[in-house]
Amino acid sequence: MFIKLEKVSFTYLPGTPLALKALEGVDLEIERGESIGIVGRTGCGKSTLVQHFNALLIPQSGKVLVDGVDTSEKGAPRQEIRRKVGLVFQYPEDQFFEETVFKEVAFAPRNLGVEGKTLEDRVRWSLEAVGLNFEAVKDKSPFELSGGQMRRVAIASILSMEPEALVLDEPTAGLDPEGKRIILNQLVKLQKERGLTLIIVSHSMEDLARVAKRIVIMDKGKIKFDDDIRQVFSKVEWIESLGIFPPVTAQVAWLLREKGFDVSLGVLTPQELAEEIQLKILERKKANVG
Amino acid sequence: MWGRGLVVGQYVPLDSPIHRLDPRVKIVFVGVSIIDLFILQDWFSFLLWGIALISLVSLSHLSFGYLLRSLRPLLFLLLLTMVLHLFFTPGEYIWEYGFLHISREGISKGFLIVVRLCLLILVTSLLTLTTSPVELTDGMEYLLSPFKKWGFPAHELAMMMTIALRFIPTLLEEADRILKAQMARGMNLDSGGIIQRAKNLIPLLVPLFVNSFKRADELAIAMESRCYRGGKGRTRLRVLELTSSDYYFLALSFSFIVFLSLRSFL
Ligand SMILES: Nc1ncnc2c1ncn2[C@@H]1O[C@H](COP(=O)(O)OP(=O)(O)OP(=O)(O)O)[C@@H](O)[C@H]1O
Ligand SMILES: [Mg+2]
Repeated sequence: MFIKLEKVSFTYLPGTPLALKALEGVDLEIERGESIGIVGRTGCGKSTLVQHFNALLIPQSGKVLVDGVDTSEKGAPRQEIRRKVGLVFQYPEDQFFEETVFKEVAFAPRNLGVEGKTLEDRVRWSLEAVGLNFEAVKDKSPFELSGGQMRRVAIASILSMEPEALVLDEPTAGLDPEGKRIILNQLVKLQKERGLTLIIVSHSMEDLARVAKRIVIMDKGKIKFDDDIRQVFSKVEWIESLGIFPPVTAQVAWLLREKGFDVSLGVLTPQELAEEIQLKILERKKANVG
Repeated sequence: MWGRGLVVGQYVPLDSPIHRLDPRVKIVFVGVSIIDLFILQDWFSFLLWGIALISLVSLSHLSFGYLLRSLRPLLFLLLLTMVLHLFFTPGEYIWEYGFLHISREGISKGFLIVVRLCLLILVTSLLTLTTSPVELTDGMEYLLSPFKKWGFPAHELAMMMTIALRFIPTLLEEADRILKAQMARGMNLDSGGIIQRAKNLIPLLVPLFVNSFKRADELAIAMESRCYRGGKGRTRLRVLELTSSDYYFLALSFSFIVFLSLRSFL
């Protein structure tokens, strides 16, 4: 087990009149190499949850184990935990401060003591892993890039630590469709080719359908659903009551089924749906001929 | 965690008689109280003040323990005051060691000053805890507007204060977020010597400044696109009006303060 949460609870501003329970008895287990999507209404505690994965927040009750290490222990190697579990914040471009993209991406590995040739290799690899041309961007100011490029540099600046898990808090928020697609494709590639554990917080089931195998649905600080993504779409009405809307493909499948077509509800992508419909049409034709 | 929490005396939105009082009344009350607390010299007055404060706090639906938190950041100052008075007041010595000595007068004076400071802080905190920043600046603007005649920029001052107060929590939240983001990138705030530590702040301060300038720009545009052009002829959304409970409060508190002041003069 790579990341394990046991009965984790967390309250902001405890002991004040403004105290706010953000997590309540959360149990979660994440294996190496998994790709997980976390969804839920705004304010349900997703960002709070992911900050527990790399010891930025320590649970007030319960336990978080990362690779067997309890994050709340006094001498816990927090820096090593943060290297293992790379966390890309919401709007990560807000954290830029260096003059060049190279320095920006080199910041994290430098903090971990990486230097010289190894450092340059890491930076080159990370920038290329997010689909940027190393030579073309390395001397630019991170502030002069386009929104999509900034986001990718921000992701590269975490990848350069060579994390074993990559946690992204709404990685596609505020991007155009093309920027979204590029980032998602690169993430899928990383997960497949390097066995990277991928944890993505998102409001878009459409996006998650492209990258995640497993879905965790949160509501008011609790986990309400945790299963294979195909299981989600068989419960369209229930998840809609939690403020989550399945991708258009799943909604179409649902409507087709209501109209008496026996299509599978577990369709994720437009391709799968098209194939499913084609199959049904062929079946009907055959039935008519026969 | 220094996000939304640490703001000393941050407004706590509750519904209580004290919260509902007119901000002008509260500001004037606090102003006069501060003067009064400086005039008073005897324990009995402070005891009465303490009782008054406790009744105000219970009226405000805040817990007394929460109010006491506002003393915490000033604890050092209070202790220092205490120590200085203890050791450096001449009088009848009751304890001596080398050049150090404590006098009877020192003890009573030290305690008196510390209690006075505590009361000052608590009364002021009670104001900021029960009055939203918007109300507070509104009240200030009203109270200062008579001075407009002599060119005093009451509206501009109030607007500046409103904006500053509005953005303090935002800024703290942002600082918290950026600190966490850089920690996620392996930043270690407390490593190295003094120079290294100062350098460690760059990854925090640069993004904070960049984002603040961006935000200021956006705010200016937002204000202009809503035709803001200063205070002249501007009407108000919330018109402050004194209610009967305001008058009761004023009457009661002023008789209390006048009584105490007279007592110490006579
Ligand atoms: N630093 C903080 N101090 C106090 N309360 C906080 C803080 N951060 C978050 N909260 C509160 O905790 C709750 C959970 O917040 P969180 O950011 O985890 O939600 P979220 O699911 O990520 O929401 P979103 O989709 O809007 O990002 C919210 O009600 C939020 O207002
Ligand atoms: Mg969030």
